[in-house]
Amino acid sequence: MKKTLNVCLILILLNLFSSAYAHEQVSVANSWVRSAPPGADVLAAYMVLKNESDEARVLTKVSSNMFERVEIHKTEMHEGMMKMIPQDSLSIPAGGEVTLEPGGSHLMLIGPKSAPKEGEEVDLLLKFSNGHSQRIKAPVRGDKNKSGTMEEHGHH
Amino acid sequence: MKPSNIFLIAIAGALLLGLGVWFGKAHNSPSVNKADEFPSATVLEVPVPLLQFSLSDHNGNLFTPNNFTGKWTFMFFGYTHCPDVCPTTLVDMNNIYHDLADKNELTEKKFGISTQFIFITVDPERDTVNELKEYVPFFNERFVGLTGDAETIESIARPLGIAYRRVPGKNTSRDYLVDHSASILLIDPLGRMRAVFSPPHAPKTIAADFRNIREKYTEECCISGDEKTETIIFDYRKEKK
Repeated sequence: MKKTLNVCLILILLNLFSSAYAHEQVSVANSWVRSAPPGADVLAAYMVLKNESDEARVLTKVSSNMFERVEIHKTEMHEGMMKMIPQDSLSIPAGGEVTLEPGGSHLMLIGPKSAPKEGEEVDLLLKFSNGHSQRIKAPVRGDKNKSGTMEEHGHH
Repeated sequence: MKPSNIFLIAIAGALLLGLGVWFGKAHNSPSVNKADEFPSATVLEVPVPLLQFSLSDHNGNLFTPNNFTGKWTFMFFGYTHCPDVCPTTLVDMNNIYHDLADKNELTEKKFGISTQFIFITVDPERDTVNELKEYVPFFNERFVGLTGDAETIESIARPLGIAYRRVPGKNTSRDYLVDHSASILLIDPLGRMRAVFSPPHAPKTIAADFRNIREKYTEECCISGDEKTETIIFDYRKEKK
């Protein structure tokens, strides 16, 4: 009986600790990988990274067991051309958020071990400069219509 | 009158027209009105003809400027090893397609001029016919992918203001990136560039502008002696060759 109580206490404490800890970290929302043709050897992942702590957090490395490697990229217009610029890291300001979206920053997923299909999920491991790492699952899907064009899909 | 004279007169006319437009701009600066007329597009008062070329479509069929004749064409230059900009633009083009198709407006009513969507690779080394066959129809089965030799593609792109440049990759000689202009071009039914849609693209606005551009310029291309214009343009291409 006493043992059960102890286990319960530990569980409660762990729970409290982990939720307090979570606030110190970065939360990831709306992650997705854009579905690509079967032969594609590069894909892009998008998401919103929200820093709930009061210190800047720096994303330093991303990896995936489903890809050879993952790079952090930023798309910029440069001399009239769209240029993808590899980034060593991505900083998320204290209390702020960074959106990775089509035509902007994104994670470039290189060399898929097998082509991920729509509806599947891509495992991504995000590592931050404070030593924290976070595993997320990003669903593979096509683009949603841009805001204001949703009605296009309302009829058939 | 010899065809070459007709050609000279046409050129002189075009120059005068251009000058008139330029003066008009300089004097009443109607560029604001222009922007209001077609918010997503830069419309060229004097369209730029495409020179003679031959490329291959993603089914291995020959594609020449004749394939532009009698159609309005949305055209985008990109490459398949491009994870962000190219899929984003092809999805935008698909949204433009559906904006028109959903209202049964892919074909213009007055002259029966249809609309086609083309993706030309700026990376023919990696983008073979087979690569394009897997890639382009994924976004829309009606879209056409074009590839060919590097010189031909460059000779098409440069006069249209499309710039691109290879950037070496980190690891192998095959994982290079290509910086490239991401504008969508609109080619008229005589195979001339008539408008440019610069990024970021808003498909609904582009589709609306396209309807207006089509309304305004189809007639000029398709009736009142425009067979003549067409002959001139094709003679011009032959002469260049």
